[in-house]
Amino acid sequence: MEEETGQRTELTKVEKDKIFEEEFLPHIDALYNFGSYLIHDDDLAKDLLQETYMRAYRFINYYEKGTNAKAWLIRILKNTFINDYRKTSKQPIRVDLEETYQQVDDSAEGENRNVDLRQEVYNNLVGDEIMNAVNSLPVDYRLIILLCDVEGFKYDEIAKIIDVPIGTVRSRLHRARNMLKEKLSTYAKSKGYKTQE
Amino acid sequence: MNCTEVEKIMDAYADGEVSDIDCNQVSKHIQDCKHCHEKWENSVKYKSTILSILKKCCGEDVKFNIKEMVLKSEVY
Repeated sequence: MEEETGQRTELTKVEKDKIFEEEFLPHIDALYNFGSYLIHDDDLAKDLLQETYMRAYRFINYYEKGTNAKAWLIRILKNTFINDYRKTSKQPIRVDLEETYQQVDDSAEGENRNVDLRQEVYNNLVGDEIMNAVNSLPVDYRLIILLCDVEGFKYDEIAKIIDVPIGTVRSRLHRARNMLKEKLSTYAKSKGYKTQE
Repeated sequence: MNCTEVEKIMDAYADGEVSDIDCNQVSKHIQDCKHCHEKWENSVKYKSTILSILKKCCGEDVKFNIKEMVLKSEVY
């Protein structure tokens, strides 16, 4: 169990409840948000949320009080999702990531190209289209956009949450954003908006 | 810094992930360069749009139920 790492501190029930209420519960919306984009089913997302909090409380002796509770909880949620929910969730068919990375790497412009959209395009895109575009990304790309652009984690925090080097965070985030902007650009063009200069 | 160098780290700059030295140089460049300033504004617009559209809340009933369930559970 990955939560069982670090130094164990013996806590009383009162101390555990205090940490749970003061440090864990304030992040419940962030965890729900993150889980719902991973799992694509509101009932399952709430089950995942509940399981995450049960597990966090069970392993609360391994949490270091006053540290980054949000990152610790997101890590538990991610592991719970991978171990228990991934097979049953309604996520779109997963693209083989290694294959996707290779395709991007093979492109002459792959790493350094920046897909850009005009500001007016963002103003004209509707929320559903943006959500659909995010949901259609391979799960590891979706995950990194949620961690950085929605939850506001720093690159080094993301690296710890998803267990990859910080350089991989940078490159994966760059590719994920480009892929998302490509999808939004295609949609905007279909609606007749000029997307690039 | 020239436009190519700025463009390479524009996303990291928008994320607050560049060194103080690079931050100062990018800030100065985008003040003077209309093209890069527009790219910077697009990066900011991207981040604010994604944040505003993707952020959801679970609802007070869910919060209450989870709190009750966990604190009354026998997991301790």
